[in-house]
Amino acid sequence: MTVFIEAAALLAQLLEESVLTADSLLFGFASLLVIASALMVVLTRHPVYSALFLVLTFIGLSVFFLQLGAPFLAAVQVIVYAGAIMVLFVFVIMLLGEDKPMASEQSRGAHLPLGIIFGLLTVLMLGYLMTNPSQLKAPQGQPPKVHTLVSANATDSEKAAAYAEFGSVRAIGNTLFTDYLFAFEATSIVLLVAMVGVVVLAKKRL
Amino acid sequence: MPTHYYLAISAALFTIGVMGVLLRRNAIVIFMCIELMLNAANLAFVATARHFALAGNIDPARAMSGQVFVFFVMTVAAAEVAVGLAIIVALFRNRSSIDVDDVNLLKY
Repeated sequence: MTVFIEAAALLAQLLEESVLTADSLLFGFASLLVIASALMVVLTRHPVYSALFLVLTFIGLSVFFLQLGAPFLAAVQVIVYAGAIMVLFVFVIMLLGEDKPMASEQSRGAHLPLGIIFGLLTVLMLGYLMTNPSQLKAPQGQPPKVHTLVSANATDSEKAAAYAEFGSVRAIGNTLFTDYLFAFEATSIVLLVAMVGVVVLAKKRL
Repeated sequence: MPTHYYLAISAALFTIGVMGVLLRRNAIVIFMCIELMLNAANLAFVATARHFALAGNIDPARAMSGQVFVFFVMTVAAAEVAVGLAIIVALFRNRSSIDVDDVNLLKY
């Protein structure tokens, strides 16, 4: 019992010293959740378990989105991915009756060393690209014209308000329906084509 | 948290997705691993969007582009999953299997 009390005191002390802030605790928890459940998606042999661990991964990612100032995206992540797309996956697994481990996957086979080699190569490449600080400099030169929430002669408080609004539904809508209006409309064509394609593929006789 | 922490998680997630596509033979699980890779890209988009917004020398509306792109990625992912699963259903109807090793008509 005293062990727990001491542990709690230590945790409180670390929180005081802000080595371990609530933010970094949440980050650590979410990254553990994301990496562990993503690994389980690949490693578990039951497709249904894979699907359920994928839901956990998406929930951890939505925690990241909340931390990164994207609350609307976090909600969309849970609704669209953990809701709609995962239901589609589980539905197809159950429809096909393929909810048991596949016989050919009982042995890991010759794919494993190849997979590890290419996985390590990907780690090296992405690690170089993403941790190299020079890749993260803000773009230089004259920025392209955007529909902005801040007018050119805005006061400092107006600018601060625009920055505070970053990630809100209003800011997303403002960007999506002005600068990316054409892409938004093109997206509807993509969805229509996908819908027609699914009907053509899945229907036995047209 | 610093941006490169999120980018490291994103890289790890993408790599796990790549490994899954290379190692697994169940077509549905391969599709799930593609979803993992798309989500890794989404995380990188959102992290860099915040990075440039906090850098301060960029209009916040311009930095919002990163978050708007996540929407487009999600839309394309939804379309891709629908079409891919329809292909898997059609495949299962013809071959009674969703093992990708059984589908090697185009291999030779």
